[in-house]
Amino acid sequence: MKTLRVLDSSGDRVVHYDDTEAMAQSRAQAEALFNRMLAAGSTAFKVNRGHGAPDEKVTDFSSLENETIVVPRVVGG
Amino acid sequence: MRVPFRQVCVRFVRRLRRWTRADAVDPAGVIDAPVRDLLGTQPLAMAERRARDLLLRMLSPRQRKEFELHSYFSVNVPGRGRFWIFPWRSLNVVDPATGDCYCGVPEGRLPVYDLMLAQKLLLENDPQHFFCVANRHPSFVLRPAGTGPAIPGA
Repeated sequence: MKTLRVLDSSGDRVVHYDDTEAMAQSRAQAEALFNRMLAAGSTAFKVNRGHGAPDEKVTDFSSLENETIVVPRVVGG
Repeated sequence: MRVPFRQVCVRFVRRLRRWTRADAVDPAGVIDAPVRDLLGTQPLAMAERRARDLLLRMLSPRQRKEFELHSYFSVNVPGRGRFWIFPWRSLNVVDPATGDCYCGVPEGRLPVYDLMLAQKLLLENDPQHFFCVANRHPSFVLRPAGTGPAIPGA
């Protein structure tokens, strides 16, 4: 089971999905959300990768691992 | 009367610690506190709690310890050294060596702990992007040339 978290005003919006047929709808939803957020300037990071692997920036939905955090577009304050 | 520079720094750090304490009381309501203004309504309080739980889960053990003790934590930025991330909404990324403050925040009204998490992820994994968009404000602690770090212990 993979998790996509998008940071938002409620804390974070979570979509769980995997590659099975039963989760096809969730997967499609996660992919659409991921692509829409990145197109809007968001940045995504693979986190909790296990075996001490460091977090990593990611731009491709197919390379997502267990957990991904999407940070909305960052602007200067 | 001229106040010694070291004394100014010590007062500055004391103030930072007082401001960032979770139970800090600010009767004047002038501090950009992370939690107080956000806990007024139930949904926002829940959002802050969710965000805090997520942040704690994402911090390294050292960062978690720092955060639990001081309400802020430090990150090692590749090629730039150590930076502090404070629980404020603006100017909350501080270079302890210079005292310079950076302000780069995600769009939308995110809980402050989400904001800290976003900054941590960006600084550790995509610092060029953060420093490209963030505004830098020079140190507000006046530092005579040739002296040590702007903030003691940095």
